Amino acid sequence: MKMNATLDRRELLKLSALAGAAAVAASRAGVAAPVAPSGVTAANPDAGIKWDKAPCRFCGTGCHVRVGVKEDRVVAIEGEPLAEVNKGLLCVKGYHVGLALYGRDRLTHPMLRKNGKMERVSWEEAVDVVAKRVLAAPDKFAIYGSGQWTIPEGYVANKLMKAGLSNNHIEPNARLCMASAVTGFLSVYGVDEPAGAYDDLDHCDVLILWGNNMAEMHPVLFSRVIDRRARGGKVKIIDLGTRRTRSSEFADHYLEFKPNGDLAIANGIAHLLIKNGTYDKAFVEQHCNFRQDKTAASLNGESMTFEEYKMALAPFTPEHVAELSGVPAEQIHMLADLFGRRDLHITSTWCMGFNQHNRATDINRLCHSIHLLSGHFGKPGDAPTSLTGQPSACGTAREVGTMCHFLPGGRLVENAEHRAEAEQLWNVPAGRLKPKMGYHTVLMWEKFCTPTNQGGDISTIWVQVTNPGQSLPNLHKLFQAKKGLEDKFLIVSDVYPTATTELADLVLPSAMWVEKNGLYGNSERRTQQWFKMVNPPGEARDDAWQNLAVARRLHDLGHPGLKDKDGKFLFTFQDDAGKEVPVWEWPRYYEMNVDKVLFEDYRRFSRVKHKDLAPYDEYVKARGLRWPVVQQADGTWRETRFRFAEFDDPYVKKGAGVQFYHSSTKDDRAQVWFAPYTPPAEVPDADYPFWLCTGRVLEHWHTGTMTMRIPQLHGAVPYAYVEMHAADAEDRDIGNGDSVLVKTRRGELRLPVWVNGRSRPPRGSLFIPFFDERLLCNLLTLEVTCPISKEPDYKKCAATVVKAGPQAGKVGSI
Amino acid sequence: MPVSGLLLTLSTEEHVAAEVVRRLQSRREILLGELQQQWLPVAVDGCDERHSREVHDWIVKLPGVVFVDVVSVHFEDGEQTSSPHALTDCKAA
Repeated sequence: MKMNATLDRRELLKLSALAGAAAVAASRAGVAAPVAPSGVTAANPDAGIKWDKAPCRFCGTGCHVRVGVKEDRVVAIEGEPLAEVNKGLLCVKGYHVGLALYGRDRLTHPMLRKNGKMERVSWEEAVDVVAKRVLAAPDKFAIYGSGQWTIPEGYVANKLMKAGLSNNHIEPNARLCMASAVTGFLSVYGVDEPAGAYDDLDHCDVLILWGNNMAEMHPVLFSRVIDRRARGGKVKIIDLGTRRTRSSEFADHYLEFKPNGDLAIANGIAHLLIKNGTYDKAFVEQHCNFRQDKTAASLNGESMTFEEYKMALAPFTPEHVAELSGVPAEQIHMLADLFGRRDLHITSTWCMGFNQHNRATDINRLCHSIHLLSGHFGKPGDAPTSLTGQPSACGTAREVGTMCHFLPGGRLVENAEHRAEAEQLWNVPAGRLKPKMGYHTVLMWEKFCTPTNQGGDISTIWVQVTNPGQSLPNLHKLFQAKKGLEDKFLIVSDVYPTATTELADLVLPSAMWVEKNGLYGNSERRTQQWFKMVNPPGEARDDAWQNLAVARRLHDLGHPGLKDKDGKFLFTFQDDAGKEVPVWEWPRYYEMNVDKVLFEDYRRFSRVKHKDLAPYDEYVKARGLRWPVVQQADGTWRETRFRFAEFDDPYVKKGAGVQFYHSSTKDDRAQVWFAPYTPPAEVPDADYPFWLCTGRVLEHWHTGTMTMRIPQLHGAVPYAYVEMHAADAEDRDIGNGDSVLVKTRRGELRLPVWVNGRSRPPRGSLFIPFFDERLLCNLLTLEVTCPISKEPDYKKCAATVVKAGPQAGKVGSI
Repeated sequence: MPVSGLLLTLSTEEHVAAEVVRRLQSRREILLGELQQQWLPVAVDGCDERHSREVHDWIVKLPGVVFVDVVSVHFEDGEQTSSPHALTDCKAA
């Protein structure tokens, strides 16, 4: 269709926007989409814009966007109406995602620190510097990446480290955000990642948000629930939190608990289910075992009988739970009564509230256990589901296995059988893979920031796709202590200058998002693919290429690990005609689809834990597919929405109903855990009388390196701040916008105060968002970790507040 | 300035929803689509960023508007984004 010549361009854009919104309205109303007056739609090439699909660059929800490109620039973003995840909708970050590419200060050239100053160098020199640092001390080299690595990027880095360098010192920043969800799933089901899917949000009668501000952190998912209400559906929302948030505004019940009180609440629910006889006896007898950590914290614990379990729960009466948690006893009864009903479908969701917790694995276990005990599992709407914060925390960190203890596909480095399988798949000699776990994130950075002669045996870290200079806890100790350690070398691949590049010795400019091909895996096991749509600026290059170029340089310098057992380079690429393509030479990189080759190589690993992936080309056609993706008799590929449930999961035996086929006890049963209440690692006292919680806001994504460069988002919340209760402020003669010093035993930070702001911390509590690199709240936080997942607790430590004088800056405007 | 497509979820009470539509029609920068049950598609074209935000906030606060979802944004004519950060040595590039 030709554009109406009389229609001016502005009108065209408006009609296009209206057409998109009308299509979503029609979808919700269940009627055919109306045609816009001009006939203009997003897909209409007459608008002069070329459109293609991609998952959003930001959070773990995995919304699909349509990306509009004109003259090698992203010029428009629309929600993808064909995507099941978001059904055409986006959040405020999502619809600005295209602008994340266009900050003025994109990194465009490699830079090397020489005599204390950063100087531009060639890519050839940069790659050579990296390779020689590795070659000088391969076992003291580490890679620190993230859940923002694409799947192929993480796979290359993982293979380079584990199969090439026999080195397990590779971690993603996902250690800081969902490692505890992993240990929770593993210790309960014997295999990682949620059984349910976002479909549960469409079917649940009760949605319990466990320390989960879904309205701000996963707004498109939250709108799915609110939309059901708007249609007249009855969905009870229960918000369990340590402060009121935007999610609380939509909740039927807001239950405010003291830090670590969630452990007591979960035990209180289980106690009442048994005491009242309302637990699902048949489900438990058929599908569950009981477990606890009797002595030390461990992944699999020791077995216990039902009677022992019952006895362990006995102290958790509603009254005792009320004392420990601050939640009234009648509310504990209310929760237990809901779980005790079989006519309701209950979905629990959680994110950092559970995972960044000094007892994180335990609280994950307890939430799963309540669902198992009550039989609220394995039916649409009945699911305990963790949500992730990064677009490929599941796809890359967990499934590709870029953590120090993992191999791809859910295998473990300490398991000899798993190592042998990986060695066979990678065609490397037996014994190539190292059996000892590498350093987890906190330990890796501690070793890097410790002088070599004092045991600091990590000398070089290559940071990719993340910003630890802002996101690590206790930054003085775990990052800034690198200053002055002359023999330590920090390499950073990124798209913008960050708190991390400030201490870098070598900075490598990266391509981002639709400047390269990619695949991500979202929170509901959905693998999503996109193609490169625009060129990166300057000399910025793909992270996967950077890893391949270094691998090749190491090969050429003679590192024996970069050859397979046949003497060939570990990474080989052949075009359709079978001719080898040296993709490590940048001009040749896009001669073929490197992502496809890497993904197909990785895909071979996905079967052992039934995380089956489809061929690459299936993802090109789809808006993501949820694993296990299994080929049907007619040759088509079918995704799985509900794992372990016979009605949907092809790996469940016929007649089993529910089958936990990766059970850690090898009997197809899940583990119901008991875990006692213990107080937090650091609690307020006379010197530090406040609880300090840190977290995120709707408009900014994590450390803000992208969203703070988007004027609309920057303008909405331009500065970090500290929120406190009005009465606490009044007690200290602090007014809204006043500047205060927030102090902990690790550091202090000057911030403006926001009273009665977006969230409402209770008396004695403070909240600081971590998006602002000028106001690093992680100078204050504690590096105490969950003993099992090794994930730090960013949600609670002791702090004090002192009035500091005149206003330090504006408070967020909305 | 970005042109955005919004999906408004309106109250199920007809007279309340009708009042929302009437008030939206009074703003020339808002283009209304066809009401589909309680879902109303609109396009917003502000004269500048501040104005767009003001319109968005005004819509959110209208009695009878239950929820506002954003469906699209065009920023082809948008201002170049800038860094809020004091640059590090990388600035030398």
